[in-house]
Amino acid sequence: MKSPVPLLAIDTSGAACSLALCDTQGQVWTHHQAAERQQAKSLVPQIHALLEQAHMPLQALQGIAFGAGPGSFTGLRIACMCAQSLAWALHIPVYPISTLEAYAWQTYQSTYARYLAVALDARMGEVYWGLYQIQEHSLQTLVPAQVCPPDQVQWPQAYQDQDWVGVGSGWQNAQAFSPWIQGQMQQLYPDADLKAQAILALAEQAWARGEGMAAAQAQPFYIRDQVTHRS
Amino acid sequence: MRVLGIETSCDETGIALYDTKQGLLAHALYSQIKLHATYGGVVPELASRDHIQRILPLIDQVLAQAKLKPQAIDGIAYTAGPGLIGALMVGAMCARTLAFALQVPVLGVHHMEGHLLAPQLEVNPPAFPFVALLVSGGHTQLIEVRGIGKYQLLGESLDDAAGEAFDKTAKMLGLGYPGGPKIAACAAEGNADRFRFPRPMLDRPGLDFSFSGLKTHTLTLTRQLAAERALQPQDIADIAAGFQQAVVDTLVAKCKRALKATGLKSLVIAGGVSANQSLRTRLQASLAGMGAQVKYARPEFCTDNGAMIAYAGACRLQAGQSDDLETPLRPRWPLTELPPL
Repeated sequence: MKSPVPLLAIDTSGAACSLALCDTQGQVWTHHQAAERQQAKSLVPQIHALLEQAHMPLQALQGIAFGAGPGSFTGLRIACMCAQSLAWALHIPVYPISTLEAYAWQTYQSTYARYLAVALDARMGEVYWGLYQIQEHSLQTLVPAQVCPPDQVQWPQAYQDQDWVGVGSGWQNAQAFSPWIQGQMQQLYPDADLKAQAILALAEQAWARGEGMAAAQAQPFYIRDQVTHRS
Repeated sequence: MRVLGIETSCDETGIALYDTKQGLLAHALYSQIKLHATYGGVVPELASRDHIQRILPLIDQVLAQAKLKPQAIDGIAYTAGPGLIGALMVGAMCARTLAFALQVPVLGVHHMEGHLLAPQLEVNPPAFPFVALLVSGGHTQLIEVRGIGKYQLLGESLDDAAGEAFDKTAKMLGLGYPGGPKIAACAAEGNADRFRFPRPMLDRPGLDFSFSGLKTHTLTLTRQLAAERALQPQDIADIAAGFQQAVVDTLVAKCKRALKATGLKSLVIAGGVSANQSLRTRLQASLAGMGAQVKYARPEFCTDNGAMIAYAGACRLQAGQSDDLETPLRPRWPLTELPPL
């Protein structure tokens, strides 16, 4: 039996402040609270409270994972800066985890669906989206995260006619996708709420692969880089 | 007490270490000027994205300069406002998380108090009480300062801040960003008396300012000239010189009024525009005539920097003030709401 890895996972990419902590015994402690516009205030106190609940000293942590995006730009930076700072102070690595991959993994865990089309509302008439497949209990990326209007989503022909499951807020307006894509979907979970347990699970896999990085190198995955127009 | 200062309120990432016994130990700054120059002004989202890439490497840099380990930090001060909310949040998250991890007190510092106290970092610092002219891209205020946190607002800009007027005028003249140094450099080649510029609000009593009319006057003048013929470099230099002189005249006149009104003989100028050489020279000459003196910080501490935040934070932390980890940021924060020491 593998020994547990004490990791803390943080997600503030959406409207919640979500935490998952694997303690030195392998027990997972979680905290998930709606915290729209309150994340910068509440995140550190909530980490403190979760560690106290688990009777675990901060210094026992061996890595910090965070939902790196895509998602709310401000939310991504709140989690990223917190993860960077904790990892810097503790001299431990950071694991930036794609929120789209975390949605896919979370949905696989609860539904056993193996083909997952994750789409998040990116505002401005666009969606962040990516295609994922589960193979041998491992997440594979078929189309990495990108942003575009839903009716311009390019769906590779090789990935048609599977039992696709759509996950994430981008599916709340499923009619905006092309009829062909709508026809590919067997099931939709447009109201799924990302929990940090999924970030933690993917971070444990990243830890096993040795993919941790130095604190300052960990950055958000914004995906949308066009944020202004030149004058 | 060794205090780490973190400044991220706008487009500079400033980090410093201040020791209440040994003084300033180290400071480092990353300026985003080039990043925003293409857009003619600060793009808030880009500013936030840049801060998060710079903070930890700059902290490593100042610790290395001071030959100290993170455990040597006794307290953390960060800019909690006023400023761009997204940019402030990056610094605040870093400060709060480090304070939690290192088990040290943390304090959100008022950005303008940092500017106001920056001259205290100099060898011959100003003594309280004094009148302060805070003059930057976001503020133009005259304040009577009786001590740290003992501030009375005497007057302020009713519209654009002086630095903002410099930025907008520089953009209008095609001089680029940031406007203050660009206008000053261009004005050095110009004749300030060729065009007539108004001196806003000097014809009425009080200590308030207004700079938007001056900016509009410059726009009208530039358009009138351009309608006659293509603007030559000398035209632009003369406009820049006339504009700068009008701003400086206005600031100097109001500073003199403020000193007379308070009976004080000491003026401190702080903020980005306080680096303007024409303003410094004119104030020195004018105030000498009334037996008063002017003090300011070295140029690198006139613009945003971490040293002023570390210093202001150290004064308050040492006096026992600190914040809990949930203290909200204050993108708008009147200086006069600060508690006295």
